[in-house]
Amino acid sequence: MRGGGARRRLLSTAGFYALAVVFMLPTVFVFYWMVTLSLKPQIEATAYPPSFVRFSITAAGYREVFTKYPFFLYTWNSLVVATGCTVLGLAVGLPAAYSIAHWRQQRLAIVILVARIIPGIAYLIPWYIFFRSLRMVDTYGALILSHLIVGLPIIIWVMISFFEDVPADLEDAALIDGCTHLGVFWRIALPLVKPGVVATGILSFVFSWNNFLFSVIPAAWKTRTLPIAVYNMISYEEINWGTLAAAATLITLPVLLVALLAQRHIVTGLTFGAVKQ
Amino acid sequence: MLTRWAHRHAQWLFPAPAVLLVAVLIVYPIAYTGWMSFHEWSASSLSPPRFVGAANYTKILVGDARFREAVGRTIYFTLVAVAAETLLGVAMALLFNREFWGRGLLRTLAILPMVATPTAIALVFVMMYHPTLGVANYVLSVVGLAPFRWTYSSQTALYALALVDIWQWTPLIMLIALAGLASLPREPYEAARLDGASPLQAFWHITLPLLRPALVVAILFRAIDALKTFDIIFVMTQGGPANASETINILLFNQAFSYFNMGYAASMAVALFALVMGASLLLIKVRRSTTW
Amino acid sequence: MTARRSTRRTFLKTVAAAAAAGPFVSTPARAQGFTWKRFQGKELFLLLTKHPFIEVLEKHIPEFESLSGMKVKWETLPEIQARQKMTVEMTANSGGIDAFFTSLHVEKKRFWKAGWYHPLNKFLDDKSLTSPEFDWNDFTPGAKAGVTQPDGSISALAAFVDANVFFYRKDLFGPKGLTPPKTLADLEPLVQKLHAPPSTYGIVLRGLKNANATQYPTILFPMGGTYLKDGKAVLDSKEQVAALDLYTKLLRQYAPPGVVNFNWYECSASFMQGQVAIYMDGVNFASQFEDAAKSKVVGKIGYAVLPSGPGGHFSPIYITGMAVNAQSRNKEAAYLFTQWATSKPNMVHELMAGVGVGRTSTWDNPEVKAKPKMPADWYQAYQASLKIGRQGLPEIVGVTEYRDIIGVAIQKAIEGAPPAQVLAQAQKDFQDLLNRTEN
Repeated sequence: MRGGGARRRLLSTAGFYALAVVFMLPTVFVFYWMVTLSLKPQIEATAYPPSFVRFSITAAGYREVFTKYPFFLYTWNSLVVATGCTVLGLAVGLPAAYSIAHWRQQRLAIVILVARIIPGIAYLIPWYIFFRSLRMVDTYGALILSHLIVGLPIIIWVMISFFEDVPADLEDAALIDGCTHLGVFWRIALPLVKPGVVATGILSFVFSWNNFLFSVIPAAWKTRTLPIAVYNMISYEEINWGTLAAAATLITLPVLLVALLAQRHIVTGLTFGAVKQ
Repeated sequence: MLTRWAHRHAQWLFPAPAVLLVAVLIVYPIAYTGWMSFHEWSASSLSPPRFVGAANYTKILVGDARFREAVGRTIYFTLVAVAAETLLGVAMALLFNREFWGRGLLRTLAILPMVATPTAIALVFVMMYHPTLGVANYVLSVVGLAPFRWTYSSQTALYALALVDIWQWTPLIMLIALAGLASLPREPYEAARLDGASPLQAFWHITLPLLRPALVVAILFRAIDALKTFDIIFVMTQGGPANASETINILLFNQAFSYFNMGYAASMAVALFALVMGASLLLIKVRRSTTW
Repeated sequence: MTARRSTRRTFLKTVAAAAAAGPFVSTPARAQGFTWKRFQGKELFLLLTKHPFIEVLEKHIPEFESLSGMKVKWETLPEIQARQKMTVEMTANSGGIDAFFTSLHVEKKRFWKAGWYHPLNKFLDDKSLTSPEFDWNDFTPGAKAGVTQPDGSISALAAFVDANVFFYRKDLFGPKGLTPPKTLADLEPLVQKLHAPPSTYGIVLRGLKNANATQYPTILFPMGGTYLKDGKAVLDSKEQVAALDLYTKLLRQYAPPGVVNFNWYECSASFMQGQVAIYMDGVNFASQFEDAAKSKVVGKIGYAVLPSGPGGHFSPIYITGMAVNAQSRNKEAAYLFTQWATSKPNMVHELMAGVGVGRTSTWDNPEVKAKPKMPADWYQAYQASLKIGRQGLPEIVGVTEYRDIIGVAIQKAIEGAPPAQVLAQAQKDFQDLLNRTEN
């Protein structure tokens, strides 16, 4: 019986890793392909049969990314906007989500959702007129606000579910003890929804980081962000594969780092703890 | 005094900043688009928009076959992509919801696809899908399958595009599902085990219902984004071959920035909004009817 | 370096000439000689398109800054995004763009009708604003016509003229004793002889809708077909049916699979990887073909003029130029920039980098002839094509929509629909478009 149990466990672990590999294969492959594209000379990028392991390595792609574009400026701009948008989004979004969950304010939630439903194109001209009249074109403020339209709805809506799961008894008990709503929110609800906060923070950051449409129009000289660098690899007569893939790889790295650090906060088996009556 | 007032009005003070911010940012675009949809204008600096009443709406509802086809395609694309993403996303979340060696790294890698710049991914896929030079057909040939047309045929283009969407956005569902699984209480599972329930029963009767609210929100956002898909289609097929992959948003972009029919484009934007709003309200209803 | 010295030399010459002519010329009270520094201290903002002409231009912009004393800021975007940004800026009446790079084959009539181009006629005639070296008549007649509107206003200064030529693999033609086809009738048998899949496909042409509309005239025109006659659509003429039939037959039978959705990047990738024997497209792709870092067929490509047909001998041409924005707050200063960008010295830089230009004198320039970047037959094919150049797209407001209409018809025909049938539908849609937008 004991031997059988150990073997079953081994099989189940092996089965698990096999499954994990199968699921991860498409992801890993496409990224592997992209990274190798960034290292291959142009002529090998489109060669057939494709070369998976044996190919000549060149740093030309990466070199061109840094020399042709003010890459550090773009990265800095992207960082400022994505962080600003996420911080602002969480700051106004978390209380809103808590309120909507606690007091069941369905209508407010729908108003917020509308922002995400409106096709992006419909925003372009009106916003441009709006920002221009406020002299906000080519400012971080304009970009952060426009990216917020994408990030805030998802922060609020996902967090509503998490706040709804906070046991009402806990909240009521605290209120009876004389806690303010703010106190309940801050000290009781928020710690319990940490996994959700991390997940939505990542999402908001990512959506802002990759946003092209809302970065081209309100931005100009000083505030250009990274997706534009990728788009600029496509010229009239050629696609610069090496540089494109290099830019794409470099753009992905910071976000990966943010995600890796944040993921540590999503812990399995977080218990709510029993309510002590 | 202030704190007493704040305490009583907390339910308005909490959401106020968010709602006001959103309202300010969307009110002008909504008014502008709505107004423009009743006019005809070619973005000219010399001639102003011309009032045409409901002519644009009549056209999209009965006059323009191309628009109706785009609507059908948009819905079909969304159904295929989101269904696949949900199944895969939940499966992967369940798989990774445990302690194992390399967990942090693996889970970070798993969200990579949605983190990468959509345009760059689309272009990489363009080359991977190339019928005679691409690695996709190469892999197929190695395992003995016939080469596939991917985005280079009107029969298969929409599916090939859906595949890119699935590859890229399954992690979104997985991420939210994982966070949801992490917040699940232990007691129901312990009780179920004591009662002798199998893992499958536990999943079906405990996990799924508890996960449902967060999951439906994830599906909601995926559906909204899929209905509005633009980047990958624009880069990879531009709506072709022969409009086979033209969704409403692509058509809308063309009407505005290629054909300069600003008024007509505005009416399409309103129609797209109505479609997405309808789908959203439907999903919200589903979410609210959570049975315990 | 050479450019700066020559412009400074010409500048000094101009000043000397003006000084010498001073007392003998009756000058009006406010007349001034031309000077680049007239608007020094001003700041210009440009919207440029990602294009080989611009890539060369960008490198020399600092020279303009020191020449004129102006500060220049610019944004370079891919064409579609640039047009989108332009539209948003113009509808918001921002006045934020001073000069821009315009793709006339798409924008000419549309932007003119919308009042976005500032006419340059007065500026060109104004001797205080136009350098005596500029020489408007140095531009080819085709280039000049391409930037002039029906009412005579000049909307832009011609920069790059794209002609279509015949690219072929000399190394595949040679052993079989083949030469580039003189007429369309020779084309099909030629393609058939070279077609040897899967290692070599006979021909590749663009299939993707909208993109294909610029290459389709390489067959349409010689077959005697066209898009407009006396302002009316003629997409269902029998010449057009025959032309579409030939275009799609070639692609269906002798092109790589999936060609129906090939844009220029799939086409040129296939060609550069040595998979195709013949390719007809814009002349500028050649600079990649001859780049060892990008192409497996360096030195193996021959360049020839397109084949002629019963309808005549033509090369579809497409013109781009530098324009001044009608909403600019610094129109004259912007004009100085556009003038500099299309001046003789700058055009020499362009042609030396392998980018074709709209000025006649540049082709005979000694520097260009001394250090040719491209093979001799490229220059010959290009110049000969310019001589038989013909606007590849109709000069109408709705040209992008036309491209989609004919583009979809071509794609459907490639996938097997009968040409007469798809053209009948295209004819209807096109005439409908004309009725709606051309008045």
